[in-house]
Amino acid sequence: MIPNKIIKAKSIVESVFSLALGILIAFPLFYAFMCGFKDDATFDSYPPTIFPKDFTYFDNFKHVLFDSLVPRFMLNSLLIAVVVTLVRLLLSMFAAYSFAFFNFKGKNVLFFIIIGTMMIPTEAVLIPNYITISKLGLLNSYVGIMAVYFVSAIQVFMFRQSFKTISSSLREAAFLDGCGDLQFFFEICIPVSKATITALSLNSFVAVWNTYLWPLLVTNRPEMRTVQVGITMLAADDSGVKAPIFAAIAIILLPTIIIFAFGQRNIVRGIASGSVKG
Amino acid sequence: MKLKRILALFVSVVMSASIFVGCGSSEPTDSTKTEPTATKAATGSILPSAPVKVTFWHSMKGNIADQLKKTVDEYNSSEGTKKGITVDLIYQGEYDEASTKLSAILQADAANELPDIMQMSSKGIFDVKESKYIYPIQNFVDIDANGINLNDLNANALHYAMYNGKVLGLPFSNSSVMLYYNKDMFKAAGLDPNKAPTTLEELATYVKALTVKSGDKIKTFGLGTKTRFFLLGSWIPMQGSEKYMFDNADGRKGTPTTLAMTKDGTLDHFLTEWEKVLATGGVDYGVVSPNEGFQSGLYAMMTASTSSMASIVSKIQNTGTFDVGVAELPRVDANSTKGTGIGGSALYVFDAGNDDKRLGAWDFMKYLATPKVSGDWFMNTGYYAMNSKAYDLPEVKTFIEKNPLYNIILTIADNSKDYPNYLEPWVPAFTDIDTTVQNEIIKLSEGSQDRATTISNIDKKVNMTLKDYLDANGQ
Repeated sequence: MIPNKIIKAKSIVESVFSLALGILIAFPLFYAFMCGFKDDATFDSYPPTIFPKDFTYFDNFKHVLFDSLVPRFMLNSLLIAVVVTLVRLLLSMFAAYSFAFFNFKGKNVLFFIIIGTMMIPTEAVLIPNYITISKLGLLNSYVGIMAVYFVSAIQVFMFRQSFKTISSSLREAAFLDGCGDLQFFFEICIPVSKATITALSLNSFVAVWNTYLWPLLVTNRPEMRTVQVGITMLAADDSGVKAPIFAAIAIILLPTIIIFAFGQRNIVRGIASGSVKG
Repeated sequence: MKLKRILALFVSVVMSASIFVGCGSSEPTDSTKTEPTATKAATGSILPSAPVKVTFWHSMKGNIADQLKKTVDEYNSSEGTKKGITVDLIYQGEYDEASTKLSAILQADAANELPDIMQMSSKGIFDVKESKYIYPIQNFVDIDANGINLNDLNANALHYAMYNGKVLGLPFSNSSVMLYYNKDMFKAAGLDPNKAPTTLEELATYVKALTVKSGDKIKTFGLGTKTRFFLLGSWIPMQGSEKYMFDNADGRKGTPTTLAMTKDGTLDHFLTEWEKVLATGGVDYGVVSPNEGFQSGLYAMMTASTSSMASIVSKIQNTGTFDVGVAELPRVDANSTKGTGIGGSALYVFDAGNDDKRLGAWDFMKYLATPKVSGDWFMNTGYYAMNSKAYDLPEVKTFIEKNPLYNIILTIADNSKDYPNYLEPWVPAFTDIDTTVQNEIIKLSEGSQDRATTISNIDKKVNMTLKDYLDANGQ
C-alpha cells in the first residue's frame, strides 16, 4: 500500500514538471504571436520585450493577409496536405492489408524493400524524383508536388503491425460467414486501427504542410508555392523588417495547432476504444 | 536468417545507389558550342524578332526583392513594352535552393524548364560555369557595340563574374566587407571617433579599449565578427600580389585543386596578427551576422557587408540610436595593399536554343547596367552600382551628400580598383569548406588548439574535400 500522501505528492511533482515543459515548448510559439503585434521600434528594442506595446497594431497581419501571397500559399498547402494525407492512408492500408493477411511469393522480400526505402535520405532522392516527375510531364502541377508523397513506407509498416493484432482465425470465421476482404477491411480493420489512423494522418498532414524544398523544386509559378516557401520570401538577411515574418508564422501555425488540438482528443479516444475491445 | 541477408544486401545496394546519385556529375560540358550561335546573332538584329517573355529567377528577399520588382516593373512598362519584351521575375528560394533546382533541371536535361536569366552566388555558378547552356555575357558584348561598355562597370565586380578571362555574367548584387563602429562608444572609451583602426594590430588596441566588462561577464565586446570566406577573401590576397586562398586563381581559371594560403604563409601571417586581436579577450568571434548585436550595443565594432548600409542608416543613424562610424576593413599589417575583396552574385544567361529569349534577356541586362538603374540599386541597398557612372548622376550625388556614410562604399571601390583579383572563391562544396575553415579558426580563438595545428587541420581537411570532389568528377 502506498500512502495517499505520496501519491498526491507524486502527482503534484508530475503536474509541475508537465506544466514547466509545456511552457518551455509553447513559449516560442507564444513569442511569435506576440511579435506579430509589434511595430518596428518595439521589435528592435533592446533588451527585448515579450509583450507588444499595443495589441491593436495589426499592420503586420494586414500586410501578410492582404499585400502578400500568403493566403494563396495557405490554400495550396492545405490542398496538398489534405489530398496527400487521404491518398497515403488509403494506399498504405491496402498495402498493409495484403502484407498482413495474404500469402504470396516474395511477400517478405517485397515488404523489406518497402521498409528499406526508409533508410534513404530524402536529399538523395530529390534529383532522381525531379527527373521522374519531369519525364512524366508533371512539373508545375499540384499532382507533381503530391505524387512523391503518395506512398509512405512507415505508414505501410505501422498499419501492418496494427492489422497483425487481428487474429487470422477471426478473419477465417468472418469469411465462413460470407464476409469478403473489402468488408473485413472496412468493418473490422479500420475501426480497430482508429488510433493509428488518427496519429498517422496528423503526422502526415503536419509533415506535408511543412515541406519546403520539394514544392519549390517542382513548381515555377509564385502562385503555386506553399506556405513554408512563402515565409522565406518575406525575410531579408540584412534588412531590418522582421515583424511581418512573425505575423506570417503565427498565421501559418494556426491550422497545425487547430488540427493538433482536435486530433489529440481523438488519439486518446481511439486508444481508449481500442483497449476496450482488446 | 535468409531474410536478414536479403535485407542487408538490399540496404547496401540502396546506400551505394544513393552515393552515386549524390555525386553524379552534371551534364556534359561544351563551352565552345556557344560560338556559332553568337555569329548567327551577329548577322541579325540584336532585338528579339517577336514578342517574348524572359524568365528571371532571383534569390533576393524582403526590401531588396521589392526594389528589384520595382525595377522590373519599370522596365516592362517602358523599354519592354516598346520592344515586346516582358520580364517575368520569379523568386526561386535562397541561393542554395535555387542552385539545387538548377542542377535538377540540368540532370533531367529539361532545357525548357531553364530560366533565361538567373541570379547565382559563387556557390551556384561553380557548378554550372562550364555548362553548355550558359551563354557568356562576353558574347553579347562582342556583337553589340552599343551594349554595355565594360569599362564603365565596377572593375572588381566585373572580375567577380569572369571565368578564364571571359565575362560570364553581369555583376549584380556585389558588396565588400567593411568595418562599422559605434562613435558614441569610441568617445566613451576616449578614442577619436573619426579615426578607425587601419591594421589588425591597431584593431587589437581598439578592441581592448572598447571592451566593457562587468565582473567576469562582458557587457560590450570590442568587435563582433566571424572569419568567413568573405573576410579571408580580403585578408589573404592583400598580403602581396597574386596571393589566393586556392590555386587556379581562386577558381577563376579552373576548378581549384588545393589550398594556396596554407602553403605560401599568408594564412599563417594573418593568424599571427589575428591572434593579437583575439588576445584582448574582447572579440565575439562566432557571429555571422553581428548587425542586431551592433544595433543593441553588444558590439562596439563589427565587420559587415556594404549591403548592410541601407538598414544601418535607416535603423541606427536616422533613428538617432547612436552615431555610426564607417571604415575600410583593417589591413593585415602596414605592408598590406589597400584593396578589399568582393563577393555576392551575378546574373547569368541560359540559352536553351531560343534566340529571341536570349536577346530579350540581353536587352534587360543592358537596362540594368544603365547608370540610372544602377544608381537606384546602389541607393536602396548599399550594393555597388553595376555601372560606376551612376556615382556621377546628380540624384546620386545629392543622396550621398545627405547620407555621407555611403561615401565609404565609393572609397572602398576606388581603393580596390587596382586589385581586381580579390574575389570570393569559386570552389566545390563552398559551404562545407567555408565552415571547416571557420570552425578551425574558432578552435584557435577559444585557445583549444595552436596556430600550427589550425593551419595543418585546415590544410588537411579542405584538401581532402577538394580531392573527393575531383575524384568523384573525374578531373
